[in-house]
Amino acid sequence: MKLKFYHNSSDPIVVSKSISQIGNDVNGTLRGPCSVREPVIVIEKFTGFNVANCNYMYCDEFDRYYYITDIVALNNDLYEIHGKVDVLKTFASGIRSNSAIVSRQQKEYSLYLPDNFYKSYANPNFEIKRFPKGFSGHYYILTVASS
Amino acid sequence: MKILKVPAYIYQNNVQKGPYQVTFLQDNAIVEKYKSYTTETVIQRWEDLTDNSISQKVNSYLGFNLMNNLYPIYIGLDQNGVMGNWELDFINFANLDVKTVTGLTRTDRTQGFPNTNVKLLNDCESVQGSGCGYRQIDENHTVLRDYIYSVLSSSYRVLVDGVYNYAEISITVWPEDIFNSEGVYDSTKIPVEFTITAGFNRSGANFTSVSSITLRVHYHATDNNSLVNQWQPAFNLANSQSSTNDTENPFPEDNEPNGGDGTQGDPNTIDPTPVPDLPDIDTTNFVTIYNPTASALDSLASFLWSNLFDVNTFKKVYGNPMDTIISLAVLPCVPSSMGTKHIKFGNVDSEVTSSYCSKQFAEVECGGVTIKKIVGGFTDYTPYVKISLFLPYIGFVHLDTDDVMSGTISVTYHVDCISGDLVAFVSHNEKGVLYSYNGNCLCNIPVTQGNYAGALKNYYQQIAGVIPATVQGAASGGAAGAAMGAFSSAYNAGVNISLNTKPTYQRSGSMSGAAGIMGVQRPFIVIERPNISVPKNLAHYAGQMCNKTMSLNDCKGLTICEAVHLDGIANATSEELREIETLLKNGVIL
Repeated sequence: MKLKFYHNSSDPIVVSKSISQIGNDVNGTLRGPCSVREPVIVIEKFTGFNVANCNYMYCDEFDRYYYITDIVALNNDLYEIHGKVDVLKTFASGIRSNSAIVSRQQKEYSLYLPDNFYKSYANPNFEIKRFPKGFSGHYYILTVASS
Repeated sequence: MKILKVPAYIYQNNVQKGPYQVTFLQDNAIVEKYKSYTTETVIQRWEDLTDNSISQKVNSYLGFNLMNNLYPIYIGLDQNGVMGNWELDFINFANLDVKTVTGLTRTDRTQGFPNTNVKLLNDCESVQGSGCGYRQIDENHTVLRDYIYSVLSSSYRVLVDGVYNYAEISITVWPEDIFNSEGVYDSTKIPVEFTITAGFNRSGANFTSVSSITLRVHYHATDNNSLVNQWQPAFNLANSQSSTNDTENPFPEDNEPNGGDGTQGDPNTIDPTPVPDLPDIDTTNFVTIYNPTASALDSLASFLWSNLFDVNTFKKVYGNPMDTIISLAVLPCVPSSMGTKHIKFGNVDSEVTSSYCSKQFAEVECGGVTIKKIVGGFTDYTPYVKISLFLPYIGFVHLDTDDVMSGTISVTYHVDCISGDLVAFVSHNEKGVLYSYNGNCLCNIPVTQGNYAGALKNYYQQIAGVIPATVQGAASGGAAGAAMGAFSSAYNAGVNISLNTKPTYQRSGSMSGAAGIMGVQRPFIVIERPNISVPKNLAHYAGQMCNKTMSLNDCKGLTICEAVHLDGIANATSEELREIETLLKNGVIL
């Protein structure tokens, strides 16, 4: 199977990861049963680049992107690459074609929805406003029984 | 009334966006006759729009595949029967079994295709697989290509003006009786009323057959020359009773049984109650309300104890000259004067001149203050902002922030100049009178040891027929009783206030009577706002509250989903689907 090795500089929760391929495509071999989600692939040591600098790969056989979780040197000639599928990158287009009830969003939001991330300092702000007018002066009022 | 909603969302360049929602209220006759009718229109700007991505966009918005082989799909070709490459791409992408209808004119295509096997719709059933269309226009809005891909009139359009791309989805569910018994569409049966619903080109639309239309518009554009701005005049709003409203998503969404079957009217209907007019009651001939000056009072006192006062004459009516004095008091206001005349005790003329009043009630207008939102968010409302209002002769009262925020609050007093009872009306510039409080502003001046309250009580019983609480208290307990009467009213009002608002500290006691005279004479308002702490770049790290159903393709940046049903990810294992769902609920960056 053909493998592409990358350096991934994006957070794991990023769907469209920023990856840059390192070296050329590499042929790998499956040794025994292999999970498509967490494959272990053996590759021959090669001189094109240092695989230890890679943290991400793509396997065309499985059509999936993988985080490289571990690299084990079996001997002087073989590396064992442990991968874990990156479902976000692999199924990015399928994910984007779905709709969801979005509770929090970076760009699309309403400040009129109460948010527990907002905290209040102990010292409040005060605004005091006087009304333009009110009672003015005092008047004697004499009420007498007479016409 | 039944609301037929035509929500539309316009996403503008420069990240500015403005949901654009139109709500139609149709009269019962139309709705009852054509129950299966509904229309939704969405206008949305999408990045990187290509022909092949159209169906993805549409499906994403609708939540189901707009184009599928469950329903016949016809391609309308022009008179030459030519199908363009982009049309072929479109068909191939969706892998559709497509039939073609040739020789159609544009009118045919925009009004739908005859002889299609259209699914008959049940009441309130939504459309599926209706179709879509495509239109491209240049910066001068000249149609470059126009293509309707449709079963009936449902359409999807992309408008390109060189800078912006806008897409319009129009989905129309037609009433059952425009189809014949074989399910064949009969254009002659389209009711005239439905001409208003053919998408968003509404110039010349006929609104006259609709009893009322509420058009809600949210629109924020950074580019005044944008295509959307130019569309706005296309809405014929004449006689539409249009109004703006901030409700983007009127709740509930539908009026199906099992709840949500309310009238779906505008929940912000306000019929404001104005401050009432003063009671238009003249003083009776039994009493006269004088407004003497201090010197006039001195002269009057001299008269009462001089030889000029003929006791024998006076006793024909009263046993004691002081019996005629109902009250002598100080008030902070006075009814308008009717002129001057001699002060009389019964039929005895003191020959002391004083101005007098023809009305018993006076009004004091205190003006208004505006309460502004600081943030423009939930922290501007209850329970974060507390608002207290000091009312002279009443004391502090608490206002519900939700009632008064972002409005002008006015205070108007109505005062009874005989008893001193007053009512303060607190009104909002849009909502009218929201609060009214009672108090007393009478500061009595002792004249004799006689019980003046008894005279007051007699006056009200014989003349007015009503005994104010203040007078009742005075009648039973003199001045102290009067004070208690006033205090009791204020206390009861205070109890009601404290039960209906969250606990807070009392800023004053009762300010009635003499205490009020010595107190602050002008209302003022105290607004206590929270000192909010918001982490920098909160939206980037944690997002902000959204609570909307959205296409994930339209979400940019951090997105945390409350609920999602993943469809159309064919290659993923069930474990991977579960992981995707978990990640979406924990937050991903799109």
